[in-house]
Amino acid sequence: MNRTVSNMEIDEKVARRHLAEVDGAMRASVDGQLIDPPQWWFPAVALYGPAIVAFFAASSDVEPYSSQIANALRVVAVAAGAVAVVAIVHELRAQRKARVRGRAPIFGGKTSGWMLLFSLPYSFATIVLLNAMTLHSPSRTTQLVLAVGAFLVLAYVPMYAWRRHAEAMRQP
Amino acid sequence: MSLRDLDPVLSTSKKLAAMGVLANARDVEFSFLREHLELSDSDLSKQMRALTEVGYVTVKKRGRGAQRRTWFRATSAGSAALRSHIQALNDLVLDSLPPPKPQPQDAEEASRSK
Repeated sequence: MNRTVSNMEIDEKVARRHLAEVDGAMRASVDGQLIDPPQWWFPAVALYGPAIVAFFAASSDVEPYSSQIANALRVVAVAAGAVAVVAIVHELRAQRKARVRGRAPIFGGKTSGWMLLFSLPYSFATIVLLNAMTLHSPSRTTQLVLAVGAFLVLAYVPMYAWRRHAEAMRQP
Repeated sequence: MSLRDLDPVLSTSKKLAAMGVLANARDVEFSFLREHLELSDSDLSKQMRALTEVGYVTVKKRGRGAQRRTWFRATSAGSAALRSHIQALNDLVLDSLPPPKPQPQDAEEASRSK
């Protein structure tokens, strides 16, 4: 079977060659993207959102935050803020140098919508959970360990989801 | 999807490859396309002008002086046309394959049904 398009006969052989060429072009495009899609954005924001709220809560001298937990939360807030700034600077510098600019994963796929919806209650839920843990744990050391541990685990969940999503979006 | 979906604009391998590069990226710089497609500046300009004229690609020039660069981006119409064209090419390849031979098991079932 063949077809003439624009004075050019396309048969099975030509079709196979064209498919191979377009496949190679798509791969070159992905390989040419010197930068990764901004995979750090979501975890950075996910970390930074609750951290900044916790920072203000810790600064307001409201029980049940002990000074130890308040200080720990301040450190986490500053660290998360630093990660966010590094991610943004890295992204901007890479974008300026790259000759192929990739699509940000958030602009494609059904997952983006779900992740956006998920991110809004996520920060709130983290704060609620941290509050609950600090209220009901027996000692201040346990409170500190639980709070930091929960914070890290909860930050990992969206990070993992975001990476999977970013990888899926990069497939040719 | 049929052979009619073969896009005349994308039927040349240069334009098809250019669209393939653009389809997976947000913006692609002129020199990257030139190196990948192994075309001269003038030939690439000609191919890209043709794609721009049919609305498959947009062009933007950014920077000043020696830093000035030309960037291309596939439009949604261009991406859709590429998808249809690839599907039509796939269909053409599949149609050319010989029909599968009946398995011995199938032949037995056919004789039983008789």
